[in-house]
Amino acid sequence: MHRIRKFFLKQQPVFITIIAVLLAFVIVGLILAATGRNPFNAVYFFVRGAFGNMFNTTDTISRVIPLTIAGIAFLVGAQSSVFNVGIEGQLLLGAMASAVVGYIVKLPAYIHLPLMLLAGALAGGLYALIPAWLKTKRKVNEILSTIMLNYPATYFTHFLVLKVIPIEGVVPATPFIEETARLPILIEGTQLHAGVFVMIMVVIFAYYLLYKTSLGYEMRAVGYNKTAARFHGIPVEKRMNFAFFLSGMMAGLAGAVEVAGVHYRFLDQFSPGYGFDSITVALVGLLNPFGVVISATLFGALKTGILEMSVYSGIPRQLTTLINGIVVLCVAAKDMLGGWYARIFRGKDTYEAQKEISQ
Amino acid sequence: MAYILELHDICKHFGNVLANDHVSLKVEKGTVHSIVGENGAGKTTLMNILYGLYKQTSGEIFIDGTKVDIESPSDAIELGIGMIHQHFKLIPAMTVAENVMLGEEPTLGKVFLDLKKINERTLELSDKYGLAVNPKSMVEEISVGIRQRVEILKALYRNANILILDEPTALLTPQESEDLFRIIERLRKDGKTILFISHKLKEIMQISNNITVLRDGKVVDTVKKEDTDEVHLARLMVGRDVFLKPAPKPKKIGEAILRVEHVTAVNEYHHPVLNDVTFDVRSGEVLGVAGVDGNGQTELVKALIGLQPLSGGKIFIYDQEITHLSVKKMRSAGIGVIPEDRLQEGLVEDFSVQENLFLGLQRSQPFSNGTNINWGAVRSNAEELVKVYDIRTPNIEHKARLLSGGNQQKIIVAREIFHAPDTIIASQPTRGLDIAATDFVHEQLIKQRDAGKGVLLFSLSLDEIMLLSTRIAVIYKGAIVAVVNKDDVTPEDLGLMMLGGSYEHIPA
Ligand SMILES: Nc1ncnc2c1ncn2[C@@H]1O[C@H](COP(=O)(O)OP(=O)(O)OP(=O)(O)O)[C@@H](O)[C@H]1O
Ligand SMILES: [Mg+2]
Repeated sequence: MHRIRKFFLKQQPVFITIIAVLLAFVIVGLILAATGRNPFNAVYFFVRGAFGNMFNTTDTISRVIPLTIAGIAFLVGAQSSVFNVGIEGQLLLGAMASAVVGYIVKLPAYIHLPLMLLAGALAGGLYALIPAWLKTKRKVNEILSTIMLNYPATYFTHFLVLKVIPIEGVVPATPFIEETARLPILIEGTQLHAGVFVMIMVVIFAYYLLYKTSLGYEMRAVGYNKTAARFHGIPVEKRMNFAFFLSGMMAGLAGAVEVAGVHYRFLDQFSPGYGFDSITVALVGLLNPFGVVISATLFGALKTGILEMSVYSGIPRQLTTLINGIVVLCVAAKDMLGGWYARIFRGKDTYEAQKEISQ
Repeated sequence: MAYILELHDICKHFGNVLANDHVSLKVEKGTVHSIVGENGAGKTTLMNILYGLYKQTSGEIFIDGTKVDIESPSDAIELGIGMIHQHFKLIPAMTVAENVMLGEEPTLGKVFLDLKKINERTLELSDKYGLAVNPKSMVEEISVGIRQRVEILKALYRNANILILDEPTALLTPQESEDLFRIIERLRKDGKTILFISHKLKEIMQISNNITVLRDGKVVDTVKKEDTDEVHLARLMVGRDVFLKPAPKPKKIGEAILRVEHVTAVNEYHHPVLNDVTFDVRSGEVLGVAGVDGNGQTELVKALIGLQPLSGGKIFIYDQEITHLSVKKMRSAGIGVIPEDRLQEGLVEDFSVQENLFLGLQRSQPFSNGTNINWGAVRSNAEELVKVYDIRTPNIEHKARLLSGGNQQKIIVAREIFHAPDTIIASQPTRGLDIAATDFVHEQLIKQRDAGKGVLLFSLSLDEIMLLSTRIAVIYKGAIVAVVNKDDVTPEDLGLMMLGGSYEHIPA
């Protein structure tokens, strides 16, 4: 009994997050029931929609890929106390840069594909250097600057596909990229593309960087306590600039992988807000690289599962937004849940008390 | 005898750690009741339970003979309990009076602050207990000692009858401590009850009526002041005799390792903070820097590690000039530092104990090959230091945040002394340490000295300066006004010089 309790205590943040997510589902279930629908029926179609067959499963995975990479983008910033809310903009620029490299350049695949991915990453990374400069040199709060910088990026790509790049067909988009710049489909007839390997590499890279290298240790030290970092010879501004750059690179890479694996061109408004979702994904993933994969799977499944659910059970699609919102609310209310959790597993301390002391 | 406060069999578990083990305590009204014990003995935990920050696992609390249930600090305040935290929770951009009244301010028609009344009431309270604070000064402009009084005022304004002071003197100068004791005496005479925690047994003997000794979470004994003395208390605390003894004479003093020449610096308002500072630290000696707090010590430490921009002067390690180098380069040139503010400067609280024990060394052998961390080396280093320095932690993966104050300090001291480069700058190295740990840290510093390193010691405690120093530099208004051999001065001489008094210079 004691060991079980200890285990639950040690994993407190993990379990609280799981409870928060479950709670969100219960609330949604109640809403469904209240509007005269059968929640269990809905769950059935939801799970079937997300993982019911090969096609659905691979569709889900293909959404998990950009969510994970973008989630890692937020994570590497946040671990160094850089709150990059501009991932959407960096992702769009990355997608555009990679699409341009993908259709203009003619090269063999083994070099073309890496080059186009790199172009995407660099575009995102360089764009993130603007808020980095604003933050470390001009002390401009990065949450404001990054959120604002989403707009120029969106409208710039919009402008490019509408006015500058010759339009093929009716949709505003760039021309298709060369075969050599595409991520191959892994299973014939499905959406599952080789971007899944890029995703795995990104996750392992982030974990390795943050927890196995001196650089990552320094980034985390900056994230937790800048004064102490400075006192111990860590160049705080440099590390933050690097975190911005890396975060932007990951965001750009997420966009490039979408282009190379799914759309094969830059399609105007192709991103259903992956950049914004990345923040929730990273936070629900507890800013842990592997946690991000799990939470991205959840949010990816939300996107595909709801589709089928709405078709078969007559529940409106807009519910995705609602469920998303409720999950976010529940996760944000974690502190309250934490209080109950602690009461069950720790005696009666309130979570607040723990925090107040630790301030 | 009426007891204002009784604790019956209080237990507190943190996971596997038993921080309080059946603690029972009776506190008489109108007394100063001190609580002493080793680092990690459970003093702060017990006080936090009383103030409603933690809930005891078992046990009962009685106030004025009635059983009470304290669920939160607001319950505690309701019951007349006030706590003065070591890390003050004041708002710097507001005035003293506004801080005191915060949350319960008198208003005009429930909308506007009644500033006149706010100031008047603060002044009234301050005068009643001789706190001597100006209600209108901004908190950001007042000293640590005064800030503490503002905290006391806050508690008094909320009608506290029991005041908890957890290591209130750790951050104070000796003079400020004396002032605080006068205030405490006045509060006591007025019928307030004070719970007082300190590691300085001299203070305990000076102001207590009763003293409770904790060890490993258990009450060892509660004694009357008249029936005990410092030696006896120390024995009760640690289970053996400990005295702080003067350091043995240095074995061999060598050449100057650290040389500071005509260093000058100004603060952000262009006021001089370091004024033509010149001194050196030699191999095999401890150079103590004596001075009243706020005379440039903080800036000097920062200058020596590359965090204070200089407007003039030079700093050398041996013959290498290190002025204007980055912190990293100055450190690798051979400077190590124990910073004065452990939570802000010395530790990353959210790092584990083992991660903290190689902070600053994350790119040096054996912890790293420059790129990758060698976690095996990190672990064995942590295990060794935890053992040698007796850092009380359940395991080395425990977050530093969860350790007791003194044990956090031990992490910093252990890291910096164990991996000491040529010069160690030790700023308040024993702040918050119990007597045994203080003695141990003194020994370690002397060991480094005798290994041929130079130690630059900053301490607010003249006693500590006198115990450890080979030579003493006196700092006053940003300038080193004298450097003297320890054997040539008395604490009284030093006290005078620290206040700007002149002294016939004895060539050191
Ligand atoms: N929030 C917490 N979580 C886990 N363990 C804790 C927590 N707070 C305190 N402890 C542990 O409880 C024990 C007692 O700590 P406490 O802070 O009460 O000691 P203390 O007597 O105040 O020591 P010091 O003189 O160093 O301040 C220590 O072993 C500490 O590590
Ligand atoms: Mg304590």
